[in-house]
Amino acid sequence: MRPNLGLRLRALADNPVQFALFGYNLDRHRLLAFGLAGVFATASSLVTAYDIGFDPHTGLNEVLLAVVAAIIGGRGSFMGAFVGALLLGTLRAQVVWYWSARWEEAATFALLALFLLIRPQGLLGQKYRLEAAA
Amino acid sequence: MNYLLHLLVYFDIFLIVALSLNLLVGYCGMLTLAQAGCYAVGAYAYALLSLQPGWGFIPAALTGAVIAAVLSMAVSLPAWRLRGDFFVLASLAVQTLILSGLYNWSSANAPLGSWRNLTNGSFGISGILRASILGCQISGSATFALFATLVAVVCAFVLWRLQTSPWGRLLIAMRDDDLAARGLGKNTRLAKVQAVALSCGLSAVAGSLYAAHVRYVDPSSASLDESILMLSMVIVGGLGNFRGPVVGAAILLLLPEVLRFLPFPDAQAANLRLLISGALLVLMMHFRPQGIAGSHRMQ
Repeated sequence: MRPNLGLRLRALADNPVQFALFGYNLDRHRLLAFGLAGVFATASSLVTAYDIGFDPHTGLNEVLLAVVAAIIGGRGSFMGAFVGALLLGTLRAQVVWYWSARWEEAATFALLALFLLIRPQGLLGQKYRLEAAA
Repeated sequence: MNYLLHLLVYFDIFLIVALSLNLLVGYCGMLTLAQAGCYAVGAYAYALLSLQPGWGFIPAALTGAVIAAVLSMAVSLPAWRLRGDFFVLASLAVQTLILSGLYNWSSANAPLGSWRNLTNGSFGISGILRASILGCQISGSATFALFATLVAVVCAFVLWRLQTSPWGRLLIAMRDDDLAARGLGKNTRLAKVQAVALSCGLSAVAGSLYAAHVRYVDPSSASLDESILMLSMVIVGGLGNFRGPVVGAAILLLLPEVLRFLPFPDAQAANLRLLISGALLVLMMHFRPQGIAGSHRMQ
């Protein structure tokens, strides 16, 4: 594995066709990205299972929360994911503490809607036109 | 016989939902997860309006459709700016907010249907009256199945006429190239709002049919699982034409019913159903991305 893997994955995200034209193997990089993501998601699922146990429906909820955290932190930014996850976790805990656990999900997704509306690039992400990125 | 009629009513309900979802996913290219929210809004509107003021089916369902169409602006206004993954997330946010609203708009010491206890929370609303039309109540299950089929045919006819009209071609043009459609002087923002409002309104009508048939609603009909089931009907059946969603609704409706008659223990049959529909989705994505009978291939 050559050391510029991060660079190559970012190039793949930016423009897959151009990436393939430079002679890189598209499918192998995609497989690698999914595999790595799976490995690290497994690490977090082990912690969850150790803490509160697991059932087949846990996965989807957790992943949706992770997506929300990644968006509000800023996609494509390492510190962004960190800050986003911390912010989201704190917010959810505060909602339960001051208000009610019934509004936990609503608060999470209201925050997501707010970010998509006002700051779609997230807290630390680079600014770009959404229309071009999609 | 009653069982078959029950299946027919369910098929009618999901036919309306799948056809209206196809208008968004297949014609506009907007993958929305908020459809179950609109469906549940329709179901609750019918339940409350038929219980308290005692309205008939048609005014109650139309009111539900109008409420859902207004709420659908929460999906269509973000679609002006957001595309792809971001739009999916925005619609997921709307869906979750509707679900939370249905769960939490309740209070233990207020009567059901009053402003403070509109939805009765997770207990749902039971004892919904049978549908009545122009003052006479539909009592037999055969009559209700006939009525549901009639409603489904009317909805399907409306969608078919719209999809073959110039407005339908505008939606296709917008899906394929938004910028080019705008460049030709078409108001794509207005078209998006119209399409989402129509689709959500028709889903609300399907929800009203569901509430009148099952005579019990609870917030789980607005859950994400329900949205994903509706979406997989459209994707398995096929996008961008009229027969695809019909096929998809029939397949995903009949799959659990067929499994019911095969010799499996109940506990396994439920998991088997999930397994088969999941495998079906993966296989379709690999071998036939446009669906069984579809004409549009999703990007």
